[in-house]
Amino acid sequence: MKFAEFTDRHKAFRDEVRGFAKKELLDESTQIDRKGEFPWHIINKIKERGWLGVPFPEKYGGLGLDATSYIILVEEIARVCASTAIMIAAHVSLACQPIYANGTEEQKEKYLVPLSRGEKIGSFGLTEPNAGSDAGGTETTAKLIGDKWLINGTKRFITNGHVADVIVFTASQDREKKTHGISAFIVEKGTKGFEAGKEEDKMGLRGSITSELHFEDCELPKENLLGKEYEGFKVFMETLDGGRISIGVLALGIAQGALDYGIEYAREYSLNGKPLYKYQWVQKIIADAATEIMAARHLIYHAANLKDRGEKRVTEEGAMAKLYASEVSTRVCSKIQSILGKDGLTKKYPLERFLRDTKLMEIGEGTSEIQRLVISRQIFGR
Amino acid sequence: MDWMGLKDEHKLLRQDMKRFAETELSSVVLEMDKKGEPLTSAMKKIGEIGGLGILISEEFGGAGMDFLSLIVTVEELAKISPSFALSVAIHNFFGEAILSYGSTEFKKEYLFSLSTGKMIGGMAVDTMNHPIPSNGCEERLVVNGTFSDIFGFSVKIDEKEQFVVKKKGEELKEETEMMGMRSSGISSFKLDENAMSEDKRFNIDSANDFYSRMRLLLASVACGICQASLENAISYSKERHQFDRLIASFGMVRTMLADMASRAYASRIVVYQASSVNNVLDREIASVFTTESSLYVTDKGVQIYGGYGYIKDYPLEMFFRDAKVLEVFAGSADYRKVLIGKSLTS
Repeated sequence: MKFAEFTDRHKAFRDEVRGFAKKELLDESTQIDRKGEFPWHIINKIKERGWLGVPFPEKYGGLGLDATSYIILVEEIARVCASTAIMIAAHVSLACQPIYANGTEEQKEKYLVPLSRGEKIGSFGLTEPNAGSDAGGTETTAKLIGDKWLINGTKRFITNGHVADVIVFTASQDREKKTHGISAFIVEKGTKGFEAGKEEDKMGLRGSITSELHFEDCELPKENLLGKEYEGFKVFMETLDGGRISIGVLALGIAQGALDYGIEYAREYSLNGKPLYKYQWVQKIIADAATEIMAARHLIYHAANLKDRGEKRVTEEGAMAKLYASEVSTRVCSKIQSILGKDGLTKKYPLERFLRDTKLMEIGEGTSEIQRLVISRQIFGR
Repeated sequence: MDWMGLKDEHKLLRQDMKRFAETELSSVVLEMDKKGEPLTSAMKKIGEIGGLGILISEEFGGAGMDFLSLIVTVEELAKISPSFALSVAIHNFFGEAILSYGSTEFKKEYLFSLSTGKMIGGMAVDTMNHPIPSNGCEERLVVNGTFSDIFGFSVKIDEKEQFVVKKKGEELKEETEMMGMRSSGISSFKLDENAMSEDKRFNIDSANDFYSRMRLLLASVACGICQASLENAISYSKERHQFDRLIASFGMVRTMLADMASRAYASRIVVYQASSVNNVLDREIASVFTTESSLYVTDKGVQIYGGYGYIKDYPLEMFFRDAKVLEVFAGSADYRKVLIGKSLTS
């Protein structure tokens, strides 16, 4: 199946990442899921290639490629190992990007450069135990005392949590003001009063780290504010615009990986002596999956393309891409798993992992229900 | 919503099983799922209260109850532990197989031990064929494989369906990497000559009828998963506040709950109804509808829980995996629909 939107440069980059994923990641992916450990050895290889800073200018340690290239990277990695892909997505879209978009020159020098180079790992602390869909309900507080910020509160479900060196997070300066009381900050691992807490035991993405973060009278220098005071809501809404595309493409990559495997399986396996691909019920599943994946692909790369053409906000397009791709992926993975019969139910084959992994894409960075709200607000003008 | 055909004895049984599940299963179920270990002590205890010989006549030490009683039992247990419910269902159904097809000596030898739980039975549930590699050897999955003393599976020999009963031997390999139903002691074996040796065989006169009853038992597990996912999602939506409101007050959550409830109710009615009439097609339709519904309902349940639906601290995550296993276990739902369509037109 050809996809018309790619330039030759994009195709060359895609082939490079695809080659890497096949050579370095394919055989490892099952083990990464089984062990449930952060794949440091893989991340180190990805870092060496500069892929933890794909869309940022070279002067900030990045590769200086476009948004489309970055989305290609996440797709190709997710086709093979979603745990690794979400580590990259959280690092680039949620940690590097808000610093790139909102940081001062000093902050970019100090944080973005080592993050883009992959010398440090980034993370984004938005969700809290009582502030999930309602991120404006942030309960973590920030008080300016003299020239220090005093931070107190707990974050939950934070991707890259305890492995991150640099964490962008939100806290409220004035809870009465709700969303207008929130500001964004940067904290570094090892800061007194800050530590990562319990690691979540998840359904899927078991090689990716999801932790709590605790702030207990944590003091931060005044210059660790990211963007302006009381504008944290804007910072994270803009961050999520791009973040949604990366979650959408993760779902797309997983769905494509499932389809690839399903096609191969249907060719090689038989049911009651007849090759699977000759059954119409199998053909229907494969044809529907291929069609829905192509539609999702267009939504995703359309949103990325808009960014590359200089659109400041891609709220509606990003939300549509994520909503559609994540729901397609769950459906596709589940259906293809059924083609495999009982082989679809054990870790010896990758399909059960694909379904467990992709379910998060309908939840993380805004549930499907929140995406529907975001889209309808764009349509109705709130 | 309840089914009109339910008698007082079924309602009482349901209450007993609810109490049993809450006391014996709820505190350990999530931990055992993580470890992938069976709930063997609960198995013993349910044997003590008559839960392992439900269909066995009293002359062989069983409770002599009807099929609906087993359905109700399995459904109720599945609300807390689908894995355990599956184990109980398959053990009971193995007893039923011996009762229906076994020789008199065989019945005398095994039925007393099976109905009290002194002996545990396992069975291959993948009665529909599953895909195999070209030139590959067929494999079967046995529920209760790791902790049963005796197990059965069916094979076609000279176009005749036979039920093979074996004492557990080395041919059973524990399946440690199952996506769901991780406490059902699932094992696999290769269907080669070795598997066929040293065994007892009985002719099955109406295999379709027999196995459609077993698939209806899988559906009753799915039925319990539907109920429990719905109940959990309702409670959660009445506790969780976002945007200064209970999430139960949001239209999108309400429509999801309504979709879940419709399928949960319909599943229950269709399974109860199918258990009470002697019609293979009814059972097949009920079983495919219900197992697909359980996947739908748990998926929405996870969605309502959000991040909390994705972690092992809450039961929704397990229900989702268990529901997927059920949907594929006895043969993929889509493949079974082809067979239903064939029956409808023949």
